[in-house]
Amino acid sequence: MAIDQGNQQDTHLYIEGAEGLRSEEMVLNMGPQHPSTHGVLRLVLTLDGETVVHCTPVIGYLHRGIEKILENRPYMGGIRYMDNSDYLSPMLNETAYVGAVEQLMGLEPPRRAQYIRLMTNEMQRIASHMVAIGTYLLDLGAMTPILYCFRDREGILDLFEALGGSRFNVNYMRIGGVLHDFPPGWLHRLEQWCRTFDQSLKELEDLVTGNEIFEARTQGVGYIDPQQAIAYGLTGPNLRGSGINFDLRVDRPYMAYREVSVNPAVRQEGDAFARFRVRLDECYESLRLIRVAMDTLPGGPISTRTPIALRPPRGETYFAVESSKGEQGIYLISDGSEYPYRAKIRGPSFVNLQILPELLRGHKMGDVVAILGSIDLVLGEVDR
Amino acid sequence: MDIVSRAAQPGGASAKLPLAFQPDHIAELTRALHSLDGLVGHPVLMGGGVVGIEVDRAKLVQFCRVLRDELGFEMLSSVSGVDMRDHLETVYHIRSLAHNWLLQIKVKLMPGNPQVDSLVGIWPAANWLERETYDLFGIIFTGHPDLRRILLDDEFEGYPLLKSFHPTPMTVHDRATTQVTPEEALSGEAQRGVERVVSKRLGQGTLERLHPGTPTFGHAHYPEQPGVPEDEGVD
Amino acid sequence: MLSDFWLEVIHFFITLIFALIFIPIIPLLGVYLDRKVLGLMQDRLGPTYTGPWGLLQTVVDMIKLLSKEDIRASATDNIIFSLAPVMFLAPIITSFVVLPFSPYMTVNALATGIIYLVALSSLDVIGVFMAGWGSNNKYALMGGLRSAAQMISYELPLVLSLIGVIMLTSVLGKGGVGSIALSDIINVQLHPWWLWLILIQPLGFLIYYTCGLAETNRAPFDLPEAESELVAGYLTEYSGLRWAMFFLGEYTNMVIVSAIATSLFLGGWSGPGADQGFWVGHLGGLLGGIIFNLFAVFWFQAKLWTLIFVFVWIRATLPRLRADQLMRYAWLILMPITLVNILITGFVLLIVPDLMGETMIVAQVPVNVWIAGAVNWVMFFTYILLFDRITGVSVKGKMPRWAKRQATTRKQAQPTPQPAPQPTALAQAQK
Repeated sequence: MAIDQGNQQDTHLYIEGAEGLRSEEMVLNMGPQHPSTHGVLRLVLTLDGETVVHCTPVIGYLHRGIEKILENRPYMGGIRYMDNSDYLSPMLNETAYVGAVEQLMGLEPPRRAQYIRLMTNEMQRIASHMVAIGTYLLDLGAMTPILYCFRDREGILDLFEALGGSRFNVNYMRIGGVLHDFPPGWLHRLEQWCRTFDQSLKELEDLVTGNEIFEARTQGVGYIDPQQAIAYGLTGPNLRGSGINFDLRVDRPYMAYREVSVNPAVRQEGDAFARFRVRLDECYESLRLIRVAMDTLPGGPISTRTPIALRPPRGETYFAVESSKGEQGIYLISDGSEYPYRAKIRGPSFVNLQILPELLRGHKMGDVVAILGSIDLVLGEVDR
Repeated sequence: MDIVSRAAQPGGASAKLPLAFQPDHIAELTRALHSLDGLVGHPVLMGGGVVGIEVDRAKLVQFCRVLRDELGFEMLSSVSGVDMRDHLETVYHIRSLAHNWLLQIKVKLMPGNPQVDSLVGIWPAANWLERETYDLFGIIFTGHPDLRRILLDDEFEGYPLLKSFHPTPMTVHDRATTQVTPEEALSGEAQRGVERVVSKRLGQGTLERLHPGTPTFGHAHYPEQPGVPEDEGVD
Repeated sequence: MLSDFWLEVIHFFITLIFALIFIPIIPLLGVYLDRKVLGLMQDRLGPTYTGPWGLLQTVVDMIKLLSKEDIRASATDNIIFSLAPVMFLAPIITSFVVLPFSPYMTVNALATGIIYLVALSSLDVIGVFMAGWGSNNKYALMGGLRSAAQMISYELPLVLSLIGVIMLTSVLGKGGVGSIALSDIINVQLHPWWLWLILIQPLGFLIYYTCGLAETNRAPFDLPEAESELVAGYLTEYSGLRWAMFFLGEYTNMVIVSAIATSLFLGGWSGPGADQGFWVGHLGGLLGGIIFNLFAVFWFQAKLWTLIFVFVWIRATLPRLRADQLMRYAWLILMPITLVNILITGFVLLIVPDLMGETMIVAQVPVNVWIAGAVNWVMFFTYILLFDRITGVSVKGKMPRWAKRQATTRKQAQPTPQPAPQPTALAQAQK
């Protein structure tokens, strides 16, 4: 703090201080290596005392040029790069890419494949939300729920490993369907996992709901006005936490969502607690959808074989899925060759992150972590 | 449950189609668009119920303002650049949540002078999306409050997603030869040669500047040697 | 046999050795308990590798810390930087003088027991502040200031919550004179054997324990130690043995808080088997005394470590409070509650005999104490049930009024982008 000429004059000015003192704003750098920034995000905060005056997110630390890579790989070879985009929801990203190519070609995958995609997408949504919920609570200081969330997520990842060979980046979707059918006993294990997950959700509710400290830290914090949310292009739980009922699975349904209806979770309050609650409620809904899909799983082929060096007709298309973070869109242009001409990935976290400076302004430093966690960013999607 | 009976295949009778894809619903949008000023050509129905139009570059901002205020397109979903080899294009995807429409707007830019007006004043979501397009394509958005690179280094030279920006191949076989002695192989000469070639072509500027973190293979520590000493091993 | 003087000397040395052995064992057991219990509550095992069940984990950690390089930033204020751990640890170790592990195993049963302990816990704050200042790191300084502010704020309710108990000693104790010596307070809880003061002052215990959590910087008040918070704590610049001293100090502080709670609220060393008359009568003076003291120490330790287990349990369960919520809780909620507690307890204890004319004794306990206890239990449950109302948080997920006001003012302050007006033209055209 710099003191002006005040202390050269009467001492009472020094004591009173208001006229003579000038306070400078402090610039605080958070990240890119920081336990709470959920990846390599750098936040340059300008603080006036404890209040955040301005915030500049600096991104690009994880930029790998996925869009350029996709232009140099055949369509089937590019599927695996979508896993790296949102590395917490690979199945959802793959579905977006594969769905875009199928929409371009006018190819309708078999119904069984669509239902399998629905099941794996919903399982992936649960896995992603478990990470979001667990790490959010860890940031706020509760050390135990994250381990319970990850324990449940292990069940899902084990199922993915049995299904596609890999826990995380499964590379399971193919243009025209999916790669494998279920191995024997997989559906039984899935049913068992659904039962244990029911118990775990109850446990999580007990730990979190009604916890005054958690609510005191998240209620009223990080309020997003619904008009502002739409103007900034927010989608997913961030939008539904502010009262706007927009879910791509309901409003522009694709694949098996045309047959299975979804009840999106919507909250009116618009604060961090509302967004957290929306994610938790979405876990319930996804569990229900998995059970519905299991009950009504059609038989038939799981894929329409397409050539490895697939050449879709010339054209362009835009296809979006409701990913765990929001609207995951692919804008695909094909020039008739086996490589895409342009594959633009619209990552929801990239657009969601824009609103952070608006959200943080005026809040205290202790709220930064609470607000940042409530937006649920994945830097792989932000930077691609 | 709310499951359509199995007899009705998706994509069959249009009565069972969700609202977003019903032809009448889409025709409404097409009709509304016909009367707007700035439209080039006709709206085209693309896959997935997306209506695609092309808009004149000079009238873009006014067109979008009409879209937002009168037709109810509240949300900008995506801004992409496309390199069509002889000219660049920007493609916008805009949603109307109230009417459940998805619109694709294509704007052709002048070859050699890729500039277009910024839509930040209409949809604040355009801020970072346009910065990303500038970063990867070099398209200048006039009127943007803060047009600078977002994903790449601030000092990066070149625009990677242009078709004329070639990535360096992973392996360069210039100096690779089977006639190499064990000492040469161990000394890292071959790698140093590749390193020099790689850093010149990566678009990082004419000065050899290595981004911190790039493995150097000892290259950064050695000054440019005018004459590499010949192999004196065989005597 | 020996003269009193030599007996005193022997007493001194025995208790000194006991204390000196016990103090290093505290972090050993405390850290192990912390990690093991935390792990088991989090569905994982905790330390298992070093020693059977991982018991030697802290020993190994201490060896590692001792062998670390003493990293020191060049611009630190050397004297203050070096003295801070000492200033932090010394008052804590000195507090061991008055802890009554058993009637014999008290190093020196000072008559000013509680005041002495509270005074020493206040000295801790100086150590914390010196640590923040001496690091010459503005973030560490802010963390140190914040931690010091937290410790100072929570000392007031801590002391005030103990006053209720001290008032009881004057009613229950011999001669109608109260006492602040720990041994006297324990004696009050012996006749009758079930009269642990927690039964009469449950609210006092709860508030004392909460303030103890805050004094020792434990969750949910562990803002200075949190690695996911922005501002680094006062411990940033410390490494190796210096950091180990702070670490030791924290666990020893936990033991002291638990020991005071045990002495004042849970009956101290009393328990089945710790009956001096019984053992001395059966086995004679020396042997009976030894057995009696063993039982007494055992019971004291059992209650002590149970309270520390609860410390760890709370750490595993609750998220962290934000800095301003912490301060608001101490000043606006705990302070008034403790003051009300004192007022009401004192009022009841004094008024009831006057109203009834004489002191009735029911089941060996005066009636005014019964009534004071009942009133305190009512206050205890009211506090718990109205907690959400008090902290301004609603369990039903509704935004509290003060947050709503904040949200609306922020909405008005922020220039929202031009809202998209309803598409009237098209809607009308449709109709």
